[in-house]
Amino acid sequence: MIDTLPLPSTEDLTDAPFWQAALRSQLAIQRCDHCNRMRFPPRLRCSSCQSVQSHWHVLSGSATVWSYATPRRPLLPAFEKIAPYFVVLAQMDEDPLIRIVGNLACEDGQLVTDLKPVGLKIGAPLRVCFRLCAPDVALPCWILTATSPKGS
Amino acid sequence: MLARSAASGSVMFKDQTAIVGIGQTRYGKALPESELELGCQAVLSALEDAGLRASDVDAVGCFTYEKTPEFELARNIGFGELHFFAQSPYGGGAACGAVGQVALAIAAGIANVGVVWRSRKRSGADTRLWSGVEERISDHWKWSRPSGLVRPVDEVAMIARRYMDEYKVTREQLAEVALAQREYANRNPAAFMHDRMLSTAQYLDARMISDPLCLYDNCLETDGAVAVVLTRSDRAHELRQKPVLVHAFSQGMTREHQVMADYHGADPLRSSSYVTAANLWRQADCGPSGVSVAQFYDAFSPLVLFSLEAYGFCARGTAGQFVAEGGTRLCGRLPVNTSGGSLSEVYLHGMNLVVEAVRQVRGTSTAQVSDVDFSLVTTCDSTPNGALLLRRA
Repeated sequence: MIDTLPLPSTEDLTDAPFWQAALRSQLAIQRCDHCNRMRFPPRLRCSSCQSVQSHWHVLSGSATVWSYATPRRPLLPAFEKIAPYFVVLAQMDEDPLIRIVGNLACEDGQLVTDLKPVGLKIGAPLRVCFRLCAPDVALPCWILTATSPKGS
Repeated sequence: MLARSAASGSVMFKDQTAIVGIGQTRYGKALPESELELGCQAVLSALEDAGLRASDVDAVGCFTYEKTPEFELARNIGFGELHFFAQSPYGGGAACGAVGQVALAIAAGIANVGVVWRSRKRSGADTRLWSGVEERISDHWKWSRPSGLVRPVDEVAMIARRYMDEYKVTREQLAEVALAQREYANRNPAAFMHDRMLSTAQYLDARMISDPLCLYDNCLETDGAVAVVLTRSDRAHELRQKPVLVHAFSQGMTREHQVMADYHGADPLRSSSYVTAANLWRQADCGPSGVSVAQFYDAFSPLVLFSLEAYGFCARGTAGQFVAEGGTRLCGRLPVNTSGGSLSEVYLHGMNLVVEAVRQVRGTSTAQVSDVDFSLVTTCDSTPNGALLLRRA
């Protein structure tokens, strides 16, 4: 069993631009050049029009909580160290069909470890931040914002 | 749309094959036998049950997750020359696909007698797939595992919380899935949890594994093996057991599906089970109202709620109330997982559910439903999956 945090490979050309943008604290997703549809996770072709042509579109990073989970023991050693932690599935404001997983983070970028984080509920507003985990990996995380919930 | 409008070929398949033998090993923790030996025991037991010889077997089906290759099983048991072997993918989604593919081969005249088996030693902590996660992830799990959604239970917890929030399902309602199945296991001497009662208080006090899911929402970690034998229906009547017809079969995968962390489709609460169900009922001579017993894949208890809705037994969002009112108990509208299932009988990737679905048609379950004409068995709601509708001959 690995002791380190499992990290994404960033060498796949299909999604390398996502990880490069994350290092610049940008949340970038593919957008089809042909039909303009946004898609995530990254892939070779647009499933609507089969086009292979796409560009990377930077999102605002504003989102809402679609759902969340709180894994408890037994966990991989790297997660035992940080438990309890929260995993959020965030729904992007620009397109509710784009959902991105990330940990719940505090304003200072540290992971939330309170047992009952204030304001965490489905529909609560979020903004993205990035946590540098390796020289090539900044993982998107989500911070609860103070504004009132918008619903989902 | 040509393929869809032309998809009326079920008459070529419907009731053409039958499950004529079932077999199982004992279930437990740290069994001394290897997976190969457990597999041999289950297959030989199923052949004995059917009254067929090992040398009659000419088709084999198994899971891609099966560690024993077909040739090892074949040369240890002494199968005849094989004409068909197929593996079914996606773990908990595979059981009905493995049976269905062999049934298709037999119905098409490619093979005569088929065996499908699943053998698994899962009780050791180091055997869990998630414990083998590597330092760098290159497949689709790179989008969720680095954030700590590592185990299947974490992936299901995400969907379960959304479902429970959207439809106001309480933990007390969800508890009823585990409680009803434990009661079935208490009637089944072969079940791993046969001697252990479970109360609502125990459930509510149990430790969380991935909030909102607690210990009792998770399947067992056990060792064992099961097998089934299939042949042509017109030959089945010469054999030892009352044949159980394979009435309908489908696999299913939604558009934009992603295995387990299936979060990126238009509606993540509309799983691949909806795809499987629609194609199953299209073929069948009955709808959900004609089915009196079901085995729903239950590695995690919310999957039972999702499946009750996907297969049309409950309207969307009402399965929590259905189970809370006793709908899946022996006296309820649709007894579910009547051997105790993966939560309380044994966890064999759902293949034990196929065996129980057969028993219900034969009339030999330890929680027998009366007058079973149609018996449904399904596979994992969170993966590409499949289902079989079995019928009394």
